[in-house]
Amino acid sequence: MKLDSRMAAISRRRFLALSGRGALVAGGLALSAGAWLPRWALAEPELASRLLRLGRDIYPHEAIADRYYLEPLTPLLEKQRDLIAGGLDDLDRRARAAHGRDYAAIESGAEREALLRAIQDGEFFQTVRNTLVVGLYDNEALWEPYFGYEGSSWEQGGYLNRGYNDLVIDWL
Amino acid sequence: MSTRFDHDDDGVVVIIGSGAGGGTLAHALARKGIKSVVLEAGKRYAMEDIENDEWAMFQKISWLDERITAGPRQITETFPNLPAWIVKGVGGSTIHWAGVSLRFQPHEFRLHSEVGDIAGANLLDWPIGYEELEPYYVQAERHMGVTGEASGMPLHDWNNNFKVLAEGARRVGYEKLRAGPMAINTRPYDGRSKCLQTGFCMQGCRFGAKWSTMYTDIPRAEATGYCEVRPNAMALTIEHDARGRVNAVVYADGEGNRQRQKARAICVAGNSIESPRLLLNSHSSLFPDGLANSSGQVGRNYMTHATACVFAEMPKPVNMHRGTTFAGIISDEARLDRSRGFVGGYTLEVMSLGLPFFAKFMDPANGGWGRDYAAILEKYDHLSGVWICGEDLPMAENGITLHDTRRDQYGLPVPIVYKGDHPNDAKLRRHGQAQATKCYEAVGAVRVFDVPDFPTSHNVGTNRMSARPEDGVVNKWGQAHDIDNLFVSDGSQFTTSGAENPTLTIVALALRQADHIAGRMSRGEL
Repeated sequence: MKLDSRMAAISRRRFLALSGRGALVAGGLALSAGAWLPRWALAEPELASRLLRLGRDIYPHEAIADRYYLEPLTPLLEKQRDLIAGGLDDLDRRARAAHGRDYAAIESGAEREALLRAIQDGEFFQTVRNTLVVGLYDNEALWEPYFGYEGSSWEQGGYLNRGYNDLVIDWL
Repeated sequence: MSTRFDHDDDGVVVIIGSGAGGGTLAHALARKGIKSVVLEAGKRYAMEDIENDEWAMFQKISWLDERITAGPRQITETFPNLPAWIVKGVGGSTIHWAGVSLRFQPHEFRLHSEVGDIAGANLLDWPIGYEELEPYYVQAERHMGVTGEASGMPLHDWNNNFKVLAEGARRVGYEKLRAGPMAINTRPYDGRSKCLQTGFCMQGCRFGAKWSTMYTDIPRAEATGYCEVRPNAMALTIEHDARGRVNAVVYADGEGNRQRQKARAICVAGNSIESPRLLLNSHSSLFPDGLANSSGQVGRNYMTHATACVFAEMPKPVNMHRGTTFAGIISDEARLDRSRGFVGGYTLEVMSLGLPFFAKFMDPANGGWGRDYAAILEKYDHLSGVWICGEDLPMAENGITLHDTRRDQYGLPVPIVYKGDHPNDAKLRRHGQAQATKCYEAVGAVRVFDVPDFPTSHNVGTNRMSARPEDGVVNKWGQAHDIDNLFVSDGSQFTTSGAENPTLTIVALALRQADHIAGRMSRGEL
């Protein structure tokens, strides 16, 4: 399927990025054009890819695909572009001062997290984080496969006959 | 719903608020043939509006008008405009409450006498005792459908979340472990469905298995023909005559127009932020410090319970989201026992949050993110949680004041909600966190961690009852010391917070107040 192959392509790129290999330059992950990508990821792929790296470091879940980060985050490029672009530039400046390379090119997740801890009280970081904490974890598509949360239950008659008291404590 | 009273009808009791206090009172008065107009600031919701969706329901029903959080506490930083998590809608916070229906313990009505003066606390005995309220507790339990003796309904079966906590609790020596009492039906009761264990109690019960005035007292009061409920009616000020008796409420209707409803008596039940705010806003030349405020206690002694959460990751999936949100209670620490280093007690109440809220509330401070944070969330289905509901002490400086310049959409001064810990509150909270941690460790938790308290749903004390007029705002009937036809009918009349969730006591007090009002009316005194 076309969609799957595009997602696979993105995943390969992300793997390269995360592993620190591949053609990482300023701008981080290259996003390919594709119909399933959010509008603002297509409009400004360079900014979107840097924002994606940041989002994946704030709430890192290896198994969750990029699109689930991009969907909630990229509208920020429309609504608060100056704040986001300025914040990403500032982050790269800090990264170059500390490590001699742009933020997205830093291989160590721990080193990237340390850079973010230094800016976590700022408006830029908290705007991204507050957007993502709802945009990522309030996405029904992710609940059951990645977190075991089953969401709305009344349509199925609740859990009265579906395991609300099925636990057997057998680990002691 | 067809009954309409004229704005100039001065024979009606005007009740401000339609939740546990106001909704119960309106219904009880209506059954006695006493006419009332209920002014409810929020809109009316239908059962179909209730979704199993945490954020959607938060946006839909919460009281989100501007408020300012203040005081030395974390939520001043994390929720600067949301000090309280309560509801704006017909039914008030009975839509949101989780159903825990514990009576106060007898000694809690006389805590001051039991422990004496405590530096920094504005401690006072209630002007009523347990014995006086007990018949109304029984009446309230039958009225609401509280599992246990009064209603005859069995307690709930233990859900997975409570099984985990209770097993740990048993291993640390606790004995008072119960899946109730809850105002959540375990079989059909009072024309309402039994609980289907859907979860989402705090988002409103889609099946009406949990008691709420939204679908019990309010429609039943309306059906009598003696009660008119006006949604989207925000009370602005209470007016009085030359003798100082209240006689009308000015309110903004749904179109933003000012209306004035005359009244025979007025009962304020807008929860512990709005109720004192309304009294303070109703200052006049006769009452320059606000209505019913000769004591200076209106808005003071704000209590929220000393609370915190402890969550634990278990070795296997627990699925805490299945079943009632607050599914079980441990009461061993609710006693008064000063050897623990604090006065007052606390209950441990097993609780759950869905993933969307847990991701936000696990650590709402700026540092709540990163690899460790995400790793815990990936174990969401392995989590179990408990909430500490502890007695916090009344302090004069904790309370509701009005901002000098900021105005809300109604043109009213924005309330500033100030709360800090008494040292006793902090000790109690730490003890609760330590005991909850022991419970989870005893049942083999992989890791245990503290979760800070939320914007509070338990708001009490800001128009407190007192025996003497100089110590509080209302007397033992909830009637203002200063004004004999003005009443407070919500949790703001609590003299102390107790270690129990407030709703059952609010309902018991409202039923008792209805008898008192009816008696005075029949004697020609009101």
